Amino acid sequence: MGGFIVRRLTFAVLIVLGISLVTFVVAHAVPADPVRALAGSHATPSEVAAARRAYGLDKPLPLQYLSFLWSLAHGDLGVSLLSKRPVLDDLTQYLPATIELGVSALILTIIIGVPLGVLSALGTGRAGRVASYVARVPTLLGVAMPPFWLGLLAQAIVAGHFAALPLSGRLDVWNIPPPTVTGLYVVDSLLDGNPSLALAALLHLILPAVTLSFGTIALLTRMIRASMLDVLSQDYIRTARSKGLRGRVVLFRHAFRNTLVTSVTVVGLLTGYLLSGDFLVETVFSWPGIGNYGVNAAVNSDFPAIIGVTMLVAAVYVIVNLLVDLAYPLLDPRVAV
Amino acid sequence: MTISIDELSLRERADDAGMRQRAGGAALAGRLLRNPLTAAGLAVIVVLVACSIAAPLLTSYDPQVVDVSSRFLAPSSQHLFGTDELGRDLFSRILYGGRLSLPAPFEVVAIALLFGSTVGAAAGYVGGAVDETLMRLTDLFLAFPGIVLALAIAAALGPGLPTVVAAVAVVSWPWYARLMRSQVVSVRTREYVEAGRALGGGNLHLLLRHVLPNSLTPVLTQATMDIGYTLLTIAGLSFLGLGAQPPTPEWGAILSVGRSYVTDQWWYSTFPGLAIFLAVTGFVFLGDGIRETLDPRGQR
Repeated sequence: MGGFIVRRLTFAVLIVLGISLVTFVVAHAVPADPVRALAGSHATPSEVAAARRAYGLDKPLPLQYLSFLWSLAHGDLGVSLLSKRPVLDDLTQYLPATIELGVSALILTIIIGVPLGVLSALGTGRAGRVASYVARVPTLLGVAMPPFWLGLLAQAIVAGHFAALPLSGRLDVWNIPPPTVTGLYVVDSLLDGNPSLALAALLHLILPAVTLSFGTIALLTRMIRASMLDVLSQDYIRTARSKGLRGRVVLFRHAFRNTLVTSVTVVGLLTGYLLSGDFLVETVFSWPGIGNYGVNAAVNSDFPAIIGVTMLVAAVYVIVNLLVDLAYPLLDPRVAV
Repeated sequence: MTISIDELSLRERADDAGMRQRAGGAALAGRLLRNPLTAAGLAVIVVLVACSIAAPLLTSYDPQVVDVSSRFLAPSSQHLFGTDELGRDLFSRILYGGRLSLPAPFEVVAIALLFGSTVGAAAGYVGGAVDETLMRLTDLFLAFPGIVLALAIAAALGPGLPTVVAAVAVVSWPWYARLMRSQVVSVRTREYVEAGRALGGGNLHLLLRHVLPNSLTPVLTQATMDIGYTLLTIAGLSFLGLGAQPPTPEWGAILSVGRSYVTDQWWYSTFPGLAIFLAVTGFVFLGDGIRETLDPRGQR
């Protein structure tokens, strides 16, 4: 067990290092004049020269990379050109919003996707090919749906036409955010004893979370369905049925448990995706998370911020994948550690 | 009974395609179209492409001409999709925009496919340290959400449609490298390759004549589905402001402007998004159908 963990950890660290290299190359070697990029497009010649020295850009590229890694190890991600604050501070401020949205979407995805996936696998056997097509269509549509379009439609119809839910943001303009404990507005409001604020935060969460989870629900449903179909055709299921076990027991004790490996893998991948701040959904709903921050940075060529967001997202992905990998032996005893 | 190496190789290809007969193009197309979803997907794509090509015939409005007196007109018989904030006809903008939005994913996938397959084939065929290094490199790219990296690259290169094409291509090639490599690795140990080598066939000849053609099926299947997702990514990046810039009538770019008017001018957000959705759906259905037909044993 120990060896497995060590190997996976080493691998994770190497991946993060590799991504730092790629990010560094993109930010420093790709733009025509990286100094200008880092100093900002409105810098005067003397400011540019000062920036060149300050950022060490007059040194050879490999040395620059090493000093970049050094800063990274010390948690110094540079200063954002837009906000003029350390990038780390910006990220710390915007991350909770993304997490709140991501967790909400993840809960929705699991609650809806898992039963849907299981049920759609069951219907197939009896009703034949037609049912198979009928089950496939919504999931394919869900995968094909542009999330930014769905978000806009949701805004136009639900928030605009029916005025049933808020248009954007985490709270209404006149609300004061709750005192920060976790950074998650719903939780913090409840902790502060302010249920009406919690409700407001929840209402603001609904549209973005539903939009975000649309595609992931479709994906999870498809994957679980495929896995279930595969499992249900196995011999041990037939054995269980011929033993006279009731359908529900067969389903949960035998069929579903064997889909867990696939399911957890997919959920893990989706978690990484959901927690990394979906740029498009956050932009449409003006959700102040790291996705929105990243887009702003990209559009305004705020390279320190871009690097910061990229590294943060990489870290989230790597950690989540690591956790999923470590969960494998628990789910499938056959997996050799 | 003698059997030629070519015959063996051909049978392998037929096997891969799930058929025991010759892998005839017509037979394949017939099987594909029998699936109603695939046929629907193909029909949608054909219609969209035809409309974009035939744009001058379908609309008399110039997509770039500004007519402020006609701004924000709701959809009518005069303007099928309404007009935008500068009075431009939205229907014609979307039709002409298809000429930008539809070819772009093909370019991306073509680049990613060619480059990725070459790298993957080389890695799989040569093996050893080259293989290890290349696979670690692809692992790196695959461990990472593509859109973030594409965002960073697009930011570095400056906004524009070619930028987004390049960025998404860079992010997409590792998957093809992986896919091609695993195919090549499994094929290169087959008997007909050994036989070819025994007959004196050089490495390049073996690669081109036997290994590659039999490795193509899953790669091509993947490519078809990817066109849909790539279209989505490109439109998304344009929507964020990193791709085609207004006044270019690329669908994502139009949608990004329409966003400002989402509550009042509903047509501005609805129709470009609908175009994107239909195109992606068509490709996804088509790709899914191809996958079902050609590679029923495969999972993905």
